[in-house]
Amino acid sequence: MGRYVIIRVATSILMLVATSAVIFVVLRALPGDPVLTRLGTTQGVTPETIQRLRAELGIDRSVLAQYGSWIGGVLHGDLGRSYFNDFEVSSLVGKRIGATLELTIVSVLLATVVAVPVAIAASLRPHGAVDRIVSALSSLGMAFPPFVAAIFLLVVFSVQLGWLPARGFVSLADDPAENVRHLVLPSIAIATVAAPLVVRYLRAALVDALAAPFVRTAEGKGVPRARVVLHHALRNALLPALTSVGLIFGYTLGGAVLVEYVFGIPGLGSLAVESALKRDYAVLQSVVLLLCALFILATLTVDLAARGLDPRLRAVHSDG
Amino acid sequence: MKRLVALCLALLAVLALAACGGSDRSTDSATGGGGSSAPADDGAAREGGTLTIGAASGIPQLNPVLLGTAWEQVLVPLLWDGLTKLDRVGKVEPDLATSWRASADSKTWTFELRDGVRFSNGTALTSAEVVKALDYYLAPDTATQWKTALAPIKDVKADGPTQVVFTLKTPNVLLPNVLANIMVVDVASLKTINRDPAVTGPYKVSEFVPEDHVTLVRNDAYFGDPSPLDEIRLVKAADSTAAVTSLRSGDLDALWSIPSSDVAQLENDSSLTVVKPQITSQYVSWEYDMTTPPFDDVRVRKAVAYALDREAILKAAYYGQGQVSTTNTPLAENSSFFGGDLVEYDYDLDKAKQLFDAADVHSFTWWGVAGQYPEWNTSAQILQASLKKIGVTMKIQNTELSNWPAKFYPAGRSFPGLLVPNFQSFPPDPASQFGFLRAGRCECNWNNDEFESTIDEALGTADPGARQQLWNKAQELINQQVPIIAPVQSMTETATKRSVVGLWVDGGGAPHLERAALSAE
Repeated sequence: MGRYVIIRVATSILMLVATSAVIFVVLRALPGDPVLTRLGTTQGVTPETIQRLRAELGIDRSVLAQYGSWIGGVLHGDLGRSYFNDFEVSSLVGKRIGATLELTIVSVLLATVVAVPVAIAASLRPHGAVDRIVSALSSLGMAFPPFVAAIFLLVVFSVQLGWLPARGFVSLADDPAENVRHLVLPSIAIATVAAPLVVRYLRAALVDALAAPFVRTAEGKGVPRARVVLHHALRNALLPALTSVGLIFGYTLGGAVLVEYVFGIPGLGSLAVESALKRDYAVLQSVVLLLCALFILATLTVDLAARGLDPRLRAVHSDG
Repeated sequence: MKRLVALCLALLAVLALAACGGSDRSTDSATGGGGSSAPADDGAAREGGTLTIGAASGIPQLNPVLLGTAWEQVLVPLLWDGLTKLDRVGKVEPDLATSWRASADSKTWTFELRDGVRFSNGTALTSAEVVKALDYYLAPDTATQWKTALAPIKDVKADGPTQVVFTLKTPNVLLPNVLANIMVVDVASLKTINRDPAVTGPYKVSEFVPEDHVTLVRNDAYFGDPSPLDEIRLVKAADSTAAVTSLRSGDLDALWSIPSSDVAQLENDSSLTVVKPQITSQYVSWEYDMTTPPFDDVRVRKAVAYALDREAILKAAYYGQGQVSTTNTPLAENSSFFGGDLVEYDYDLDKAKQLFDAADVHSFTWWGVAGQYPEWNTSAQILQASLKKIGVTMKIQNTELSNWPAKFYPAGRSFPGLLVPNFQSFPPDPASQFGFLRAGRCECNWNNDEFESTIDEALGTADPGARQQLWNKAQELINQQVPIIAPVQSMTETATKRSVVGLWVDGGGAPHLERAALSAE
């Protein structure tokens, strides 16, 4: 187990380093100039001033030197400063990460709460009517971009019915009721897309579990059907499905970027979009790296948790 | 299973709670009539409350000296003060200075400061602070949009604790107008200006999340009348569609820069008021490099002016929100400064063809922005179709906003064969409007000795009648030389709920919330 953990953690770190290089190079390959974006055709500015501003931001140096400087800072906990307002990137991230994490966690929970009973219903009679309907709806849900769901919900529940706010975010600490009101539509928009993924993974695992010998044994012993499904089959199916949660977390995080933008939620997604439009590399590269790190961390955590909980996985790796 | 059911029930309860919580928002179709072009009424205001105003763009930073976007301008009069300020029709009024006087040659100006003003961090406003602020504006490394307006200043000195003396390189009778745009910042605390700015205005910053929102609260140390509102929130919407949605759903009390395509619909909404500037001082400017072919030839510039169906552009691209500039000059025809013996550039493709043929020019390129300004693209398509009829090809190239200035900015760059759309927003006085076209300022690279000397003479002429003659001459030169194409004078409107009173919009389109309040109803 110890060796597996070390290898898995080392792989994650290597992935993160490779990701940081890719992010950096790709962003620098984009056309556009943060200094010109910042100046916005301000009159009376000379080419010398523009050059000095570039030097001040450090973007007149080679890409390698800039990368070295950035990654050196990251290793020391310094993510740099925004080109546009001199705010520390860590401060900008700190102001926004709460909304993103809350939205992501609530969305994953909501998706799970909806998906579990649906997956159970579908798996009870594979290829039956319910299973086919669930399969069709989950395919539709996965093909549905989260921002389309967001716009649909916004038009119906905010504009037409006026039940829920169309934009903004209130932190849980400031006003719990308003926090809930502002999170309802965005989290439903993301869960609409995330839930089908959970349904698919869990349904497949449940179908396998329900066909397993231990289920037949339990049924032969006269255990009630509901108890067989929930206590025996679901418990065993949850572990394989757990590995998909990391993936879904990442998917949800990606969906949150666009949904945040639609609902005007001050999260990491909006920050990334704004920074990309302005070419505020200092902010963008760190936000993207952070989102990647969160995804890698979620996958790592789930993998290690699944291995810790499931003796079959431990057996496979110790055999190997 | 019981836990699962309980969780589902809890979720349903949360949804129900959320729905009930939202029921306080309503659209009162019984109040008011249609939209109005007048400023929101000042009457029936109540003290206190929070006003939320939105825009489709965010505020990236708070330093008024380094303003980069039009939306940032809304913060300026709320947080800062200049020595002078402009009223709704552009008349100069006292602000931090209570009085001022000029020497006989208008080259030395003395401003007397208001007594007892303090920044919100406790620093007393003295003449020394004003001098430091002006020096900051004038420093070569400060990239401020007011650099050119301040160019005539030779030096600024303190004369005792309450007097500031400006010495100018050339006479300028309009210095108090210029200084209305120059905000006095506390230079000593510039490092914290984006976190906790030291301000003198009616509001101060309580929270700032760049590109998302700024929350302002009443500044109890303000020297003027206390602001009516407790709090103003300036928030960003994802885009103009989301912004209009937020206004209509009631999340916003006001929305700046409503899309032209939505103005008519919002004007017909009985719960809203559309507030427009009394005199617009914004104009669309299409620039080209006057120092390189083909636009170094005045015939080509005039040919473009004649090939322009201004009415079609105003109708299709700007949804009628503004007015056409048939004389191709910056000032709107309803401006009191508009005048001179001006040629009208009516839509005339025969004349345009003659001029293009005479100059032997048959193609050029439009260098615009993708996505952000749909009106630019519509205008380009209208011009392209007109030019095609007379055998001239205009290629339309659009790029991202962050990439767009690289080809033509700053002034002095050569960009042959490109027609670059842009828009200008200045205070309504001709000095500001025409100042953009002076040598070294406009990307068009116009450098006309007669125009330069006319503007200098106007700035040094105290008699308003004589000065107006010089403004007329300047307009004639612009009209004859066509240094830019000015298809329309556009306007930026702000829509508000009927409950918002006291908000007005200046000629540049910035909403003024200094005395805004919520109605008592």
